[in-house]
Amino acid sequence: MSAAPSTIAIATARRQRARARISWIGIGIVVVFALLAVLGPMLTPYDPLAQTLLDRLQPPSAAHLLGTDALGRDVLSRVIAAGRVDLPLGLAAAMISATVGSILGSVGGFIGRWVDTLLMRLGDLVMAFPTYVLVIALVTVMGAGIPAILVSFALLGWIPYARLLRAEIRRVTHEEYIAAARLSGISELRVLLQHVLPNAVRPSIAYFVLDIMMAILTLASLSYLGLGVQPPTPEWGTMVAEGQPYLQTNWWLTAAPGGAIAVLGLGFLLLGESLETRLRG
Amino acid sequence: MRRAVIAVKRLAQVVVLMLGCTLLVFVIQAASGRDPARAILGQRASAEQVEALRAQLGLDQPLPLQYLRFLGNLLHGDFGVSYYSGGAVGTLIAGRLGTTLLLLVVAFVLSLAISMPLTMTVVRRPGGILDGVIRAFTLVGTVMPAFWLGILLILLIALPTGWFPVSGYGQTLPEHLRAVALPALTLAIGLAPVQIRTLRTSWLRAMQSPYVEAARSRGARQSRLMFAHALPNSVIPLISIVAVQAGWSIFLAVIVENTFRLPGLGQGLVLAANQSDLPVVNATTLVLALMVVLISLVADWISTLFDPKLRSAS
Amino acid sequence: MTGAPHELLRAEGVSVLLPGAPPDRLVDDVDVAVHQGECLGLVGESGSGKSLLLRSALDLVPPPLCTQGRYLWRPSPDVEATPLDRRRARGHDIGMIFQEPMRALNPSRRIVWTLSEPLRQHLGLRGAELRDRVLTMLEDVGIPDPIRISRSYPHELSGGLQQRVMIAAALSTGPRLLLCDEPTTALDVTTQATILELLRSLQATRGLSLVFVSHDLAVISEIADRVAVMSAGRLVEVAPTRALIEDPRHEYTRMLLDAIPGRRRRGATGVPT
Repeated sequence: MSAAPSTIAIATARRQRARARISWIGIGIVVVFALLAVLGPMLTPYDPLAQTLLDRLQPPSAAHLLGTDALGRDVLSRVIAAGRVDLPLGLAAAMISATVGSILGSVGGFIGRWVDTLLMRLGDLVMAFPTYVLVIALVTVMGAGIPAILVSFALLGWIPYARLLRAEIRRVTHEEYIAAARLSGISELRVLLQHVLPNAVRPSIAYFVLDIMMAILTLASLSYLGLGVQPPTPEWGTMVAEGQPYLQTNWWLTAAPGGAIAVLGLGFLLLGESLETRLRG
Repeated sequence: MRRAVIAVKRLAQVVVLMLGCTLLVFVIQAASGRDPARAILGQRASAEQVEALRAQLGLDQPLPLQYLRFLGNLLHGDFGVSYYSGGAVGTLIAGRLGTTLLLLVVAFVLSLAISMPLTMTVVRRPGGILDGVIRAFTLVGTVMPAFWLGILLILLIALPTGWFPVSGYGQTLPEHLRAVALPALTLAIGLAPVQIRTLRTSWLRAMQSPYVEAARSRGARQSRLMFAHALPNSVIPLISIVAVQAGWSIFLAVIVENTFRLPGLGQGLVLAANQSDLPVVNATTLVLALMVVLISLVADWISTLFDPKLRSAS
Repeated sequence: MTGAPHELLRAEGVSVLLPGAPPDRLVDDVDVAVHQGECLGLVGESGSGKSLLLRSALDLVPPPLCTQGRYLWRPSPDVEATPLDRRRARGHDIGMIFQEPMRALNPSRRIVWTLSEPLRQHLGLRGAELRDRVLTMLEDVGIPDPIRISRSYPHELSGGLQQRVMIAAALSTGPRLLLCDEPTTALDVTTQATILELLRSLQATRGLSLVFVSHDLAVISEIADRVAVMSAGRLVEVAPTRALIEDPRHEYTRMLLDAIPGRRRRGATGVPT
């Protein structure tokens, strides 16, 4: 049996050191955006909804750092204000998926038997669908807007959480300290809440962070298509759609909100990936 | 023989899945609360006319019977009538189907044309500078919203060069291909990162495996080891990933068609959704679901071709 | 009567390092030789560096590890020993077999494909000549029904058959020396015996020399003429097998011997006391 560390092992060690540095960048980005979102109203130079039709479609200048859009609204203010919409919504959507999925996954993993099988089959069925297309259908029925989006995430996004949690629970319930807890007479529910769940949740955390990124991307995409957040509420996706007709002359109208989505997404991605490697070890 | 059994099982799964889809779509339709007859005839139709149409459409029947009638219609190609235009939904879909199919095919081919050479460069020299650059590319490809990437491509390529139309589909095949080129590229860039990641891992793992070392000990050279030895054993995870990407790629196609004003199913879907034209939305969703299922099916079948455990000396 | 067998391959000052400050010496300045026609055993615990030493002879040490020192190759007593081109030796002068035959055979390729490759590359064989040669090779390692086996995939064969195929592949181009990295460790005891038997007969019929790595002294004592003991990358002791087992010079060798369960000390006549 060769005693030498393999090439993969050594390269992985090097990557881990680079990853640590990169994850700080990710955290930094997310924190900046979060701060901007929270402090938004104090930072926006102009009212994001205020239209000044005489000043429409101005290029970036000292007065308007990112110019104005087709209705004369300050782009910078709208980009910051949109952060107050996209970031919390993405967070909420991911949290709903996580909650629903975790509950179902816990039930399945802990109870087992036919409940578990039923849930897993249901999950397979939903996963085989073109998920996001179903979202569009749902939005059509419920009307475009935030409630429809949140409901879709609840109905469709729960599966990975359920699977992750279920696998972890099944793994953990076989460990000895659970048997010890059971023997000492604590009720089943207590065992679940106090002993099993805290340990089983860890792998889901990394996925949660990545899920926020996916939620924001999906949300922006739906809004771009006109099926998500409705105007005049500023939202990055809708801003890109509004700016697209002016692409040749005022390209910053699309660049700014689109860039915001990409950079924030990058922050979450870096953070999620570094969490993934750290929590897996 | 084993492969045939697996194929039959898969087919059965497809049928069940499609039935599930139709049921879901039907439930959505029923739950929407809109009276289809009223929607078709408009506000000014009289109550008797609406009642007559309801009877004709079988809307006074109990729900399970309605569902069966719905299924029957589907099998005859009758997808219902658009609330918005009054035309047959089936014709609307048929007109747009080809565009979306062409887009998807070109996009998948492009994505593999991007991911495979890039992965090859990385596997040749793991941990090098190129490895880092390509990793950065995959990061960017993952976070970039497809609609924004499409717009960037329009801004940086289509507008300056004028080689690619920014809307429409054209009449002839060359025009079709030019119209589809940038949208397909946008889609491909969205799909490539995951493909690169998957193939890189499995190809590197194969290169580290004992059978490659054994072949090396017999004098086989590096490029032969990479392509004749390791690669055939690394393809299966890639094919599985492509199957998984089927659903996501349809969503990307919807976005991209709207960004580039391509008259495919995706554009039709969004138009109908904005008009609350439920029959069109439902029928398009069904057709798209069928496409996803078929892509997964084909990918699964291809991966059985590569699985050595399913082969034998006979 | 010809003189004592000459040294076929000699390792001179061979080290394998993991670069760093300071570098990690996984094999440390080893000098050892295998003679024409003999089987040199190489023993040690996991981490002793024995497998790395073996791989360094064919430049199979995985990067970023690097090899220092040199190998001297002397194919016949009539020529001088010359430094070995280790890369060129692969599949030419020196062959190698590995520990887990199931994993050392390409799972998506038929046996004939794996065996044909070195013949095609090094000997330029094609077509019918190639096919016949493959079948002959399989027969030479004692495989009955070589036609069916050649068309099979690795997962259809038993462990013993897989290892025979591996041996056939390694010997296809007629190398003088076969390096064996624990080839019997993953096999059951009866199959182990048949493989050792095969190796011994190949030694006799082809004049094949062997370097046999194992952590199992019992197996070594059956097949090796001389034994080299390694510990923590260093060569600790080299002696003829009998002498080593009966009268180990080094503390470490004694430890290894004592670790064999159920072993009893043998007297000079070889009869257990």
